Amino acid sequence: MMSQAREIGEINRHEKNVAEKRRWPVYLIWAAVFILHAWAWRGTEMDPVALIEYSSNMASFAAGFFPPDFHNLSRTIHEMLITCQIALWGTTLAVLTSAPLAFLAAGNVAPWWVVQPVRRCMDALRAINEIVFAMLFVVAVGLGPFAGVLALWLHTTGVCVKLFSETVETADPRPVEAIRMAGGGFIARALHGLLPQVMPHWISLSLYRFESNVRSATVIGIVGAGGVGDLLWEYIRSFDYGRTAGVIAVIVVVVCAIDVLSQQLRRRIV
Amino acid sequence: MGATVLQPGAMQSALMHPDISIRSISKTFGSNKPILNGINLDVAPGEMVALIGSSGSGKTTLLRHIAGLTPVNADGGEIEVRDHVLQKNGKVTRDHGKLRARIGLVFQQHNLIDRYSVLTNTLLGAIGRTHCVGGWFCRFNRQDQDIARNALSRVGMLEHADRRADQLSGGQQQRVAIARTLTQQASIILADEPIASLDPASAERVMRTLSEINAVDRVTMVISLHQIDFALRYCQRVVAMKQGHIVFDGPRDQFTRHKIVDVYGSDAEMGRV
Repeated sequence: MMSQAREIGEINRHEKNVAEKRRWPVYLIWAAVFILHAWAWRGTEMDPVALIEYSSNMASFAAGFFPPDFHNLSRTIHEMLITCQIALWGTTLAVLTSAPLAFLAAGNVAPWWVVQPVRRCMDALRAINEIVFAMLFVVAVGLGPFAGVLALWLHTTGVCVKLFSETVETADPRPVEAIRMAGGGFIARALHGLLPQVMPHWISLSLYRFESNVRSATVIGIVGAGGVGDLLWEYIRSFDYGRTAGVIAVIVVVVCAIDVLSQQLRRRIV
Repeated sequence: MGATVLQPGAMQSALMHPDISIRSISKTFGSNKPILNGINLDVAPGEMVALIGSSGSGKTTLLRHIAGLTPVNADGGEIEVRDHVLQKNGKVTRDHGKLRARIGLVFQQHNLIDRYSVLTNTLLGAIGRTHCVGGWFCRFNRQDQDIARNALSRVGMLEHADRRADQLSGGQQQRVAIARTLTQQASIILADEPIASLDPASAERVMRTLSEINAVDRVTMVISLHQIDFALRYCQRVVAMKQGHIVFDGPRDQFTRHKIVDVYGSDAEMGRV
């Protein structure tokens, strides 16, 4: 009985030592995270005191936005519709481009020497923000919504190929094998074995990207790529904060409406 | 039950020209123990062979090798299908696509495309002989559509032709998978535990369907099974595997209780197999 109790005690001591040793890497990770944030704090010149110091300035600035001015509502709505049109075409072109590229970027479909170059190109498209693309296209094709469409197309393609290829990689390989056994080639295997499985996810992701592109399209207008962003920038530059608030309110309402609508659609599809 | 009995002359010819001929194949995954170890096997045209053995004995791996889905070890061995080399020394031949079109594989989990109709799933069996663009967009010719409908009728699924595959029961899905191999017009059908996930009535129906196809169309069949009673009732020949080796190959009436214990161990005696 005594020896059994001693044995249990030894086991408990051993387990405690093992648990203590396992904790060290966790402490180190937390220390690294803390150091990283401290380093970033200096770089970003974080100054919480300034928030309190300049609070009266901020309050008078915010007061300028109220009440929102809706006198130019018809123009705002017209520009907002253009923004939605930019988002629609940017997303559609990106989805159409991404569908074949997603198969080429999926490790379970294409060989590594195809996958790696395609993925790196898509990394580059994602790394460059829509607003940078918009500035470049404004120079290339002139001011207006077309530059916005091209900017969204390129950036969204980078995002969609990544997301689409990840769903392809998690697809069930068995239907693909069945098509292969029936004599189906590479494209037939992708179209029948994989596409029916990934399609609901792709539609859901495309709807999400459309929502996100409506938000992005409002920003790229600021650099001259058309839409409501153009109007917003015009009012901000002329310190007309009442009208700025009116435009922001329209943007918020439309983005929320699209968000709710696409959420409903996604629920039905997936 | 349609048991095929070969006449003596036909038997000699069948042995000279087997549908499937396997010579000294082995398979090892990584540095593990070999899954297949020096397998030799001939299957005559029109034979219905039951491949039995406990889990991990190498049945599925062997079927995947015959189907050309997995290459054998590079250190030798070859598989011939209808006098054409399918794979040799670890390499699947270049024209394996044409050979594979003659081999239908019925999977344990049916491997149907859930969102497609029963008819479209069946028609996909004809994709190997359809013009590529037609195959991509499921545009099959009239003749293939008739073949598919006929195949569905033979497996008793024609009335469900327009239903989505994921709305069917397991047994019904398996019968559609068999109809797909019929539409493929395969001369060899390999079935990997086709009744493993089915209830007894569905299992009986699937085995009866396979047996009828074997008897009527003279399609060569190799069926891996866990249920010995089904193997002995429907297949004329039994090939038993244990730890990557063939430990029994002969007519079903020679597969005695003693042999069953050899293959499965003492659990078989206790009626657990």
